[in-house]
Amino acid sequence: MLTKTGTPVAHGPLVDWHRHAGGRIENIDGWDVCASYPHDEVSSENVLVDWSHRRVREINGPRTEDLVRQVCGEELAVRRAHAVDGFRICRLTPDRAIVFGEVTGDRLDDPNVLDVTGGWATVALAGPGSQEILSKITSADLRDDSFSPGECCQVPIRGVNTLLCRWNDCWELHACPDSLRFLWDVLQDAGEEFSLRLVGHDWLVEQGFYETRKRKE
Amino acid sequence: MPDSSDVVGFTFDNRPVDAREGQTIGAALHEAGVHVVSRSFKYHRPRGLFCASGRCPNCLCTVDGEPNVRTCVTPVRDGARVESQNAWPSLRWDLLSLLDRLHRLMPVGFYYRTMHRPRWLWPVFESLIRRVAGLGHVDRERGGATHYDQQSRHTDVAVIGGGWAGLQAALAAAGEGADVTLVDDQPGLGGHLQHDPELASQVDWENQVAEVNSHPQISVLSSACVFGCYEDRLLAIQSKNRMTRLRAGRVVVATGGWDEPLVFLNNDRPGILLAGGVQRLLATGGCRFPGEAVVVTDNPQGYRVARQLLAAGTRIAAVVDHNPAPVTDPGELTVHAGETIVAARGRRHVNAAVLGSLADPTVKTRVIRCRWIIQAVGLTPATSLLAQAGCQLAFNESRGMFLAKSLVDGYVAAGAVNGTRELDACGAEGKQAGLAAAGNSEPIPVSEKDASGGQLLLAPDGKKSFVCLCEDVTDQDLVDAVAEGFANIETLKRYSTVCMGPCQGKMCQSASIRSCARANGRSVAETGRTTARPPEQPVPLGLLAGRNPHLHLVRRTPLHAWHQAAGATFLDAGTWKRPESYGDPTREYRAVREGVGLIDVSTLGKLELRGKDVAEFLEFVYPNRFRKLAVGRVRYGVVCDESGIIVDDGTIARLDDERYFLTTTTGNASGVDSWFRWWLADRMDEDVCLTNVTGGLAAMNLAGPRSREVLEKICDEDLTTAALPYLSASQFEIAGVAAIVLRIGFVGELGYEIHVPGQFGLHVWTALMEAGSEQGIVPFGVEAQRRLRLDKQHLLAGHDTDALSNPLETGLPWIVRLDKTDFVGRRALERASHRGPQERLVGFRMAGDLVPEEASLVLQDGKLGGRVTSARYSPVTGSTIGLAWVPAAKASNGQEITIQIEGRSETAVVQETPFYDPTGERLKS
Repeated sequence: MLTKTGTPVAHGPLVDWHRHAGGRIENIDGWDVCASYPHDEVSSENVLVDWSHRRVREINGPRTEDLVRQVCGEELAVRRAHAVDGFRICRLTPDRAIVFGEVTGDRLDDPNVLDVTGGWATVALAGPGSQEILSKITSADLRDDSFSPGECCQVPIRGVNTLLCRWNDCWELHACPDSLRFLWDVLQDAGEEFSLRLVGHDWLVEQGFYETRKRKE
Repeated sequence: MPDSSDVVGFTFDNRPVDAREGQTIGAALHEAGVHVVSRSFKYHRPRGLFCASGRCPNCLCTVDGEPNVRTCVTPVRDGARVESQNAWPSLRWDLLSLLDRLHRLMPVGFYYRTMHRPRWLWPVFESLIRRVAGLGHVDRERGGATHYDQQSRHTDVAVIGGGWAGLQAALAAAGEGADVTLVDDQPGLGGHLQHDPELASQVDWENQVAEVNSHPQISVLSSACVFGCYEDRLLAIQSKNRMTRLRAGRVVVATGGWDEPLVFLNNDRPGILLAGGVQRLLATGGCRFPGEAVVVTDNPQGYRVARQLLAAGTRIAAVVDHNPAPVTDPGELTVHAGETIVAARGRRHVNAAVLGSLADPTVKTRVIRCRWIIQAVGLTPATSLLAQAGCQLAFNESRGMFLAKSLVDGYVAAGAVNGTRELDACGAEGKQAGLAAAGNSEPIPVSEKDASGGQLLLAPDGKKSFVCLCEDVTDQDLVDAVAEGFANIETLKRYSTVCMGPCQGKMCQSASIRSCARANGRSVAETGRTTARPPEQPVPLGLLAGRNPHLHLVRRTPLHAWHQAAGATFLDAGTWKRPESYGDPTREYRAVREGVGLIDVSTLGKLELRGKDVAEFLEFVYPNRFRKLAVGRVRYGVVCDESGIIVDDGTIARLDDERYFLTTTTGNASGVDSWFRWWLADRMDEDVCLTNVTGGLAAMNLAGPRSREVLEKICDEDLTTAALPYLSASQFEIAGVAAIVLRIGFVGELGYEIHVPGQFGLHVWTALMEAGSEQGIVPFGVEAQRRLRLDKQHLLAGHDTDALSNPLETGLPWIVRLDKTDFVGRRALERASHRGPQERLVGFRMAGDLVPEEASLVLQDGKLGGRVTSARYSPVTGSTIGLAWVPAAKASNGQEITIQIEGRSETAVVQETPFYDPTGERLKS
């Protein structure tokens, strides 16, 4: 006899941390998400946000090139990232790419595409001090000429294999959820001297990272 | 007198001292008439400022609890508490200075030869020596107060040194569009030019400094010391409490040189200083040197410093010029040409200089009363960073110094580090080096250069002629050590500790090489120099540890918070945190055997393989068969390396025609992933797509005779044995979440290994716990799991196996299918099969509840015969059970083996079949 089939609620790896830290938790698109922090008004421009509540799919294998072109509408070189229509795609290797966010239509309806939502978690770092903060925890060359917006690469950050993406408005750090809490601690520690501010999902919306926002009351 | 508004105060050994804002502690002490600032390392001789530029050990003090601060380059902080080191009870009256008179009892390396017999004596003396020796004391309570930080930077061109050559190099490279980082260890750029007004007047250096500071392509790191050059032009830089790892495309080394000290009797007395330090104290410290001074020199710098002193009010008693005739117009200065200094007189401060003939220093020519002896006998090129980088250095006979003979790729040297003395030439070299580093010019050719100079190879007179001020090593010590057989410069260094102190050879390397050469009757070139290694300058260990060194990688499962709330104690499984138990492992064990339990196994490695050729690939990487594994079935497998050694084990489930789901052990997910990719790289034409989904899936094992009842409540699937038998795999929704379900039983009961997307792990776990409340479900931890699996003799790869374990000897001969054409490890396993097992992993049982520790010895005829790998008390058997490696002859049912437990020999009986449910009825139920 079936006793429980309630709608499953997805939990990112930091939800409990946010809750303990005073974050306001809301259900957004089926995820328990930290919407904001009480101190969101603090005026530091350097911010850190948990953006793990996204669907993630991995394109793998010899058809990667075609599928990536199908999704982006253009070629995407290795180590390049592309943002369009609310999703972001990172080309890691010739035969591997990761898609963060929802892709409309059936462009990713292919056996070579695997839903790995639970396998990736993301934090975003923004603000004028973000490059300096990152330089304290990774040896990657973050200079504008070497790592320009729209580029991505896999770098170790204190032992965590991290997919680092640079956009015009922020850096995204994608890692395995099991290590995200550690990465979060490391980033906060490194960002202390830059008055790094924690913000929630509301900040992502304000910054235009989401075109639409569904909130379950 | 300083303006009162600029005055700051600090204490030195509790005595108040006034200083000007921005003045160094050393300069302030000098101005206050404090000329003894420390005691020497071994003999506790009084020491005062010597190099005054942050190289020598003489000014080391404890500042606000931080030991070994170079006070000559450390700016005064208002209210700072400065304390002298290495003196007891006080700096002025140091009882341990008696050692200076007992030096005959403490010859070089005395602690290697004396105080060792009887044997108990050495620890006593060692403790005493350690208490007396050493520089400063670490304040353990204050230890955590200093915060260190680290940073990585990248640059096209790194220029080390902000002197005239460095400035030119930086501007030239930046002018070519390169991104330049200029690193200089002084607070301001300009090098010697900042302190030598006569020299500085020759060039427009201040404008050049301003240009560098404002250049958009140049980043300046001031007060930053490059202490290490590593592979691929990685520079380690200390700037205050921060370490910067600077990766450079090219490196210009323009480190200049260090003032070369002379070795003569009592050359360590307060009042004897190096010329560069004096110029620094005069120009930026605002210090004066009242009384008479003797300047010893062999070059124009000596005359310049004499004139600078004269202008500051010092009476120059004489300039002692090594050259037969003055090298420059002496003006009104009194010059004693062709002479040198052979001794200094005075105890707490110099009061006279004894001169002698340069040809024969034993011939004393005159005694000159003076308060200051200033040495300006040239520079030792600061080549240690070049040497660290791998550049070859060789002794240049004409210049009397070690210079770069060949440079490694990516490095360019310019200025005084090349032995170049003239300012114009340094600038030209710097410019060329900058262009070369930016890739627009050929590097500077390394060539022999003619010049006057050379250094004294004469033997100093007397016992207390110090070569190494850091370690109180005298010239006589080195001569004695060579006589004892430590004739090679490397062994001489290790035996005598010369060059091993805080200056790291900057003050003593040249002199020690000359002493070694003279004692051996060889040339300096033949003697060579010691290996240069980082750090070039001592750095605090905290700097290397970096910020928050205790922040180690910790991996947490999606259910971690639930476990914490449930009161779990955690154990470290590699970098993972796993619940060891929730308070009572025995209760957890019984719940699984009698009812139902739930364990978080999210840490298992999980790989998904898709493609037409997966079965073929699995046939190749596993020793057992997979070609005929049916959809919906699960098979156990071990991964072996080419030597047939077990590297991992796990299950392989076929979910679909072309889709397989594999699990690995907790610590081996990435290892197996890499291993498979290694083999896949050689099979590019095969259709196999591998995805590591370890972090993406939460996994839990619902186990126990009532587990089916629980699972049935939250899924619509037919869970009967007929529909989902033992070793089957299925995919269905559990509590509304798509899951992969494997019917396997590591703990030896009816069980379901459930894999769900990580974000829904908590949802499914809580659903199972709620659904199982009626059945008395309990969460169980790793400890209970280990007891349960031991009942079944299920092995833990990497725990019960080691780097010599193959499946044939590990009790898994059935898994090796030597009739397959090829698989990884086949040849080795074939050989092992022909050879027959030498030892085997077997189960054992012992009466009572005495449990041997893991790794306890298995004895055979009183000798080592094997070892215990796992052992626990088993409640269901009422005895101690375990797994052990035993000699093959003993590895059959009923054989008795002897296990050493706490020094006693205990008997155990071998049992090859599982201790619990040997036929597997419960698993298959």
